[in-house]
This record gives sequence, C-alpha cells and structure tokens, in this order.
Amino acid sequence: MMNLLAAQTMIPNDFELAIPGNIGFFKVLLVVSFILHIFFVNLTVAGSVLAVFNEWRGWIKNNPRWDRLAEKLAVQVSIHKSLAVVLGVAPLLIISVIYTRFYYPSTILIGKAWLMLIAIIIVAFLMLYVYKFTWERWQNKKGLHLFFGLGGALLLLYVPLVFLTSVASMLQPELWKEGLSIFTAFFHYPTIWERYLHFLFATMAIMGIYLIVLGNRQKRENPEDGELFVSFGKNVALLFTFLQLAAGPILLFSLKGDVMQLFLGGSALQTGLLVVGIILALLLIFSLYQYKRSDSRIWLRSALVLIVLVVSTMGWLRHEVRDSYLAPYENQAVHDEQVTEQALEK
Amino acid sequence: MQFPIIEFPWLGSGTVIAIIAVTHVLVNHAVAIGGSLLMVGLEYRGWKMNRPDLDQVARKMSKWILIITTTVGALTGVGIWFSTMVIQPNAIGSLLRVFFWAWFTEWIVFVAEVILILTYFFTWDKWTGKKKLRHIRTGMALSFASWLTMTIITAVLAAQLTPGQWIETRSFWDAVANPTWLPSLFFRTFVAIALAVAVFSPFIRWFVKNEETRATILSDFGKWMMVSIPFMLAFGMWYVSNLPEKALELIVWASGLQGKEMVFRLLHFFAILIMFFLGFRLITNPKRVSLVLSAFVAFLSIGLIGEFEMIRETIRKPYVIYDYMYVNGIRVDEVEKFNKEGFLPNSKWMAVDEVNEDNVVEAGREIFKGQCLACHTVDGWRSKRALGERIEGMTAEGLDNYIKNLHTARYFMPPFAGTDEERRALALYLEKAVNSPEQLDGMAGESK
Ligand code: HEC
Repeated sequence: MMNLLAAQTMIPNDFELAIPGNIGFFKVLLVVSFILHIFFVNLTVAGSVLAVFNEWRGWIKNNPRWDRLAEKLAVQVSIHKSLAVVLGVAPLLIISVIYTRFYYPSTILIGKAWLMLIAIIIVAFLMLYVYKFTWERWQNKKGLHLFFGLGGALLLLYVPLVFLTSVASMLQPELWKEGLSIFTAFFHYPTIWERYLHFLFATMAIMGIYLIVLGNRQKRENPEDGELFVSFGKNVALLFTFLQLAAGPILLFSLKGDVMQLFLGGSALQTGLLVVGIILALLLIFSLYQYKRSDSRIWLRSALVLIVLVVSTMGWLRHEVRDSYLAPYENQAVHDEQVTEQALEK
Repeated sequence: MQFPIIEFPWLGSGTVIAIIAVTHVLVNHAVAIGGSLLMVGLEYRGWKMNRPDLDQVARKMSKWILIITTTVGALTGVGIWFSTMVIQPNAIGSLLRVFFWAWFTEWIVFVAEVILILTYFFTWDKWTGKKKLRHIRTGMALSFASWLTMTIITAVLAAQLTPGQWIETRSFWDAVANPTWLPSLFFRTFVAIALAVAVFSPFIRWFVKNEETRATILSDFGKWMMVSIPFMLAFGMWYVSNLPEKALELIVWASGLQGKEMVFRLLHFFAILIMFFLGFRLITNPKRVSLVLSAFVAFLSIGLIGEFEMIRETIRKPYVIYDYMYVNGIRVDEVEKFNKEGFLPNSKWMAVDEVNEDNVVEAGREIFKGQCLACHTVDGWRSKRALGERIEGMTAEGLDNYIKNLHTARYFMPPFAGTDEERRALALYLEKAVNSPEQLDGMAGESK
C-alpha cells in the first residue's frame, strides 16, 4: 500500500481527452500487432547474427557453402528489417494511447538513450546494407566485410535492451527514478535481463525454423547447400527451443511475487495460459526432434503450426504479465483525484 | 507538468525535435514522394520509347530510394514519435487521442508502402517483357502510397495550427477536415516534386555518363519542375490565406528577418526565380546545364523546405495545438486553475511541491523546467532563446514584472501559469542562473 501511495505522486493524471475506442479491442490489437512486429524483429536480429557467424565459419573453414548461406541471410535481413520497423509502429501507437500514464514516464526517464536508438538503428541498417551490397566486391576483403556485418549485428543486439527497459520499468512506477544512465537503468529495474535472455533464445529458435524452410526451398536449386542449411536449422531450432525450458522459468521467477503467484495457480486465466504455453513448447520440441530424426514433412508442418501457437500464446501471456502488474495502479486510478487532494492538504 | 522532463541544456528541446522532423520531411518529400514519382516516370518513358538506358537509370534510382527511405526515412519517421513522446508528451499524447484512427490508417498505408518498394526493387529482373507494365504499376502504387501517408499526416500537422471547428465539437472529422489541411497537402505535393527535381538533378548530371540519356532525363525533370512551381505558389497562397491572423503576423519574424519585410520578400522571390531558371535550362539545354547551378538549386531548395518547416512550427507559438494547448504542455483552460492553486502543487515530478522560504530558488528552477524549457535554454546555442543573453543584468523584480505580462508583451509566449509566489520564485531563479550561476552549484537537480 505504501508503494502505491508513493507511486501516485509520480504517475501522471490521465489526459482530459478520452481514449478513442474500446480498451479491450485496443488490447487485442496490441497483442496481435506486437506478435507480427516481434516475429520480424526475430528474423532481423538472428538473421544478421547468423549471417556473420556463417560467413566467418565459411571463411576460416574455407567452405563456400556457409558463405552462400550467409549471403542469403543478409539479403533476407534487408527485407525483414524494414518490415520489423514498420510493423512496430502499430504497437507503439497503441501502447502509447492506452498506457500513456505508465509508458510515457518510463520512456522519458531513459529518454536520451531512447532517442539515441534512432541514430543507432540507422547506422546498423546502413552497415547491413553495405554488408549486403559488397558481398561480391569484397570477396577478398573478408575482414572488412565482416566488420560491417558484425557492427550491424551488435548494434541490433543492443536495441532490444532499451525497449525492454521502457516496457519493464513502466510496470513498476514505485521504482521510477530520475537521472539514471541507461546502463544503470538496465540493472535498476527488475526482469530486464531475464526478458532479454528469453527474447534471444526465442529469436534463435524462430530463426532455426526459418532456416529449415529456407533450406528446403534451396534444395530445388542446389540440393547439397539446401541439405546443409536444413540440418543447421534443425540444430539451431532444437537447441534454442530446448534452452527456453530454462530461460522461461528464469523469467517467471524474476517477476514480482504476487504477480508470479497468479501464474502459479493464483489465477485460472494466467496459470492456464502458462500451462498451455509450456505444453505447446514441449510439443514443439518433440516435433523438431522427430523431424530431425526422420526428416518427414509431417513433423515439419507440425513444428510450423506449433511455433505460431507458442509465439501467440507467449505474446498473450506477456500482455497478461503487464496487466497483472498494472492492475493495482489502474484500480487506484479512480482515487487519483482524492490522493492529489490529500497531498495538497498536507 | 505531469511527466518527467528531459533537459538538453545546449541544443534545447525544440531543436532536437526539429532536427529529426526536418530530416524526415526532406527525405520523405524529396525521395519517397517526389523521387519515386520521377523514378516511375522515367521507367514509363523508357518503356514507351523503348529506351533501356532510361530503364537502367530508373533502376539505379530505385536502389538509392530503397536504401534511403528504409533507413534514414523510416527511422526519422519513427523518430518524430520517439522525440515528441519524450519531449512533448502532453502534446503528442493528446494528438494521439484525437487522431488515433488516422494514424492507425496511416500505419496500414506504411506497411503497404514498404511491401511495394520491396516488391518493386526485387522484381526488376523478373517482371520484364509482358510483365513490365505490372512493374510500372507497382511503382505507381508505391508513389501513390507515399503520397497517401502525407495526406494523413498533413491533417494532423494542419490541425495543430488550425484546429477549426474541433475546438468546440471535439469531433474527429472536424479535426481532420480543418481549414489548412487541403491547401497544405497540395502545396506539399508540388513542393515534393520540385524538391525531388532539384535534389536528383545534380546526381543525374554527375553520374549519368551517356549524354543522350542524361539529356532526355533532365529535360523531363525540367518539365516536372516548370509545372510544379506555379501550382506550388498557388496552393501556398491558399494555405497562407487560411492561417490564423496572429500566425500570419509572425511569418517574417519567424524567418529571422524581423523588420526587414522587403528583404524577406525579395529573397524568396529570387529563390523561386532561380528554381524556375533551372527548370527552364533543363528543358531548353539539358546537355549543357551547369552542375554548379543544379547543385546550388539543390541546396537552395533543401534550405527552403527546412525554412518552411521552421516557420510553420514557429508561427504556431505560443500553442502546440492552437487555442487548446501551449507549447509547454499547459492547456489553455488550466491557466486559471494554476493561477489560483499554484503550478507546483498541480504537478508531478517536480522536486518541490510548493514555494516556501527555504526553497525559493529551487522552486523557481522547477517552474522554469515546467513552463519555459520547452522553448528556452539558459545558455544554449541559439542565442535568441538562451535567456542568459536576453536578460543579463535584469533584476529579479524587473523579471517578475516581465513575466507577469509574458503573453501580452510577446504574443508568441504563453502566459505564466501560477501564483504570485511562484512567479517571484521563477524570477529569482532566473536572475541567479544568469547573473551568478555559481551560487546554484550543488542545488538539487542542477548537475544532472
Ligand atoms: C512557446 C515558446 C516559449 C515559451 C514556452 C516561453 N518563451 Fe520566452 N520567448 C520565446 C521566444 C520565441 C522569444 C523571443 C526570441 C526572439 O526575440 O527571437 C522569447 C523571449 C523571452 C525573453 C526575452 C524577451 C525580450 O523581449 O527580449 C524572456 C525574458 C523570456 N522569453 C522569458 C520566458 C519565461 C520566463 C518563460 C517561462 C515562463 C518563457 N519565456 C516561456 C518563446 C517562449
């Protein structure tokens, strides 16, 4: 209760103008558009990381197949990154309009790092364009070429941390603090690194499955390349989906106690979602494993359906985490005026 | 003030937003809208006249348009959101409540735009021969989609300056169909074409080696330019005639040529004349048009569009949404309340809740942050907005009197909103900050 009261002096009053629509509908739209956005973010981040990795591997092992895979990925990244950015606009609009009182302050508090993202992403994208368009020309300057790819990939790996800071800190107004540098903020607000780990593994897992699809198509042009891409994709997908079995619980246990309880039996909806998510993830691992062993299409198809289901469930779950955190403050909102008045009197 | 405040002591808040916004407008108008039109125009001509050389240039252009719009263009577009939400949360937050569905629609068009440019770029080799027309149509759709995004965003920008009926009705459609929406939309449309010609001509002149190819392209560009300028002027005049009276009076001042109205007029007259001259040269003598002239016009028109955006922003002062909200985020209808109850007690995130004997200067500083920082710095780069230079030597008393009449003395400033004590605290702080800043060292919140 103390926390709530303290936070009330920092949570802004809402605007006088009404939210132009039904909140429930906005929330559905938020979850759906966010899933679309994050899907392409995943392909962009993991795509650039794996492009660099494979180019490097091809270079030192002197195997042009890996280089060809890397080039494919670099071209894909140039497409996915544009979709990732543009699809991010809708969730940004919606979260701004329905969670104004939480999202704006939390973002303003890291405002300078937030603004720097613009420059950072522009530089990252330009570097990745150089990377893509100089593939042939710089065949003999692999070091320089890799530098651009790696630079772009590393910058892209930094970006989610800032976004995570604003969406994690919006949930705990009682921790809001002015004047933190972004690197201090990464450690000041809870759950950021746990979320980041969970995101990174998801990114790689999704990319692994994407690679399988890419490799299967590649088989038509160059069967041996295709085969190699597929088997690499299988390993990546399986490994990182499996690692999520650790990253998921780590994140769950980093949540604030009473919120965590909701997911551990405290509330039917939240717990149910989590259970469904875990079951789907296990089924996904099973399908991937079967596909790796048997190479049979049916298991691939089942993995594809399951990954969509898992990502959707997790996307929704993530939203429930947010609303569970914010519920006490939202309920308090009606008392806002009174609290302000009390503050005035004292 | 309800939100935390970020300070940019040297740049100033307004400048941060302006850098991002002007870059975006430039890329969006010159490259995405105008540039894509020139590009498909060229592709179409190449197809009709069976001139593969023109097709090749269009293809080259598409690569650069893709690179620029998906990096600097897209990110500064998102950047306008990013910067306004952390610097002017009240304004952008309120606009979002009004225009949410317009922006949401715009988002759908954005997605279409990205898909179209990717399709266009990656199908140069695939859609040839019989399928060429499909490629050209994709390019046209791209051009149209770019224009459509401008249609929507212009409604918001125009409404900030001329909200029209919305002030009373609070109706979405009144906000969209505001008095300067259409004039500014058409004005910008032709600005975009002229700007694209100006910006792309030097590159064509420089990089296209074949003289025949260059001549055809440049004379086409010249025609686009000659047609656009008169329309641009006509719609510009329509736009200006719909501006609020007070805003109109501020135009010359906003350009920095206060009191030199004749100079202002002459400069702009000559600027347009030179653009016209370039168009004329491009048509009549495309092979020999001077690189210096085309480069000069490129910079000139970039300067003009930048100036236009700055003037548009400046003449809206003191409002961020005309007659509704001031630049510092205070609503017009809140002023009276703050005068009575105080600004500090009605704010969050301020280091102090009220003025008392021990905290006068600190309170003054918080009030400065809340009400003045949106336009001023203490000692930033823009000397006209750095209060240090403006008020050096003034006493707290003199300042207090000045602040009392802020809005009446200078229309472009909002009225001070707060109690008499708060005003005195602000004056005291300003006097100290300007005349003896060393005394402020170590004060809470000073050295961040
Ligand atoms: C909407 C933007 C805006 C806000 C908010 C604003 N000002 Fe100004 N102010 C200006 C502009 C623009 C000028 C004039 C610069 C010029 O002369 O070109 C100015 C000039 C001044 C001057 C110099 C006046 C003169 O006549 O030389 C003072 C003093 C001043 N402002 C004080 C304040 C104080 C104190 C506040 C906060 C209560 C404030 N202003 C808020 C825009 C603003």
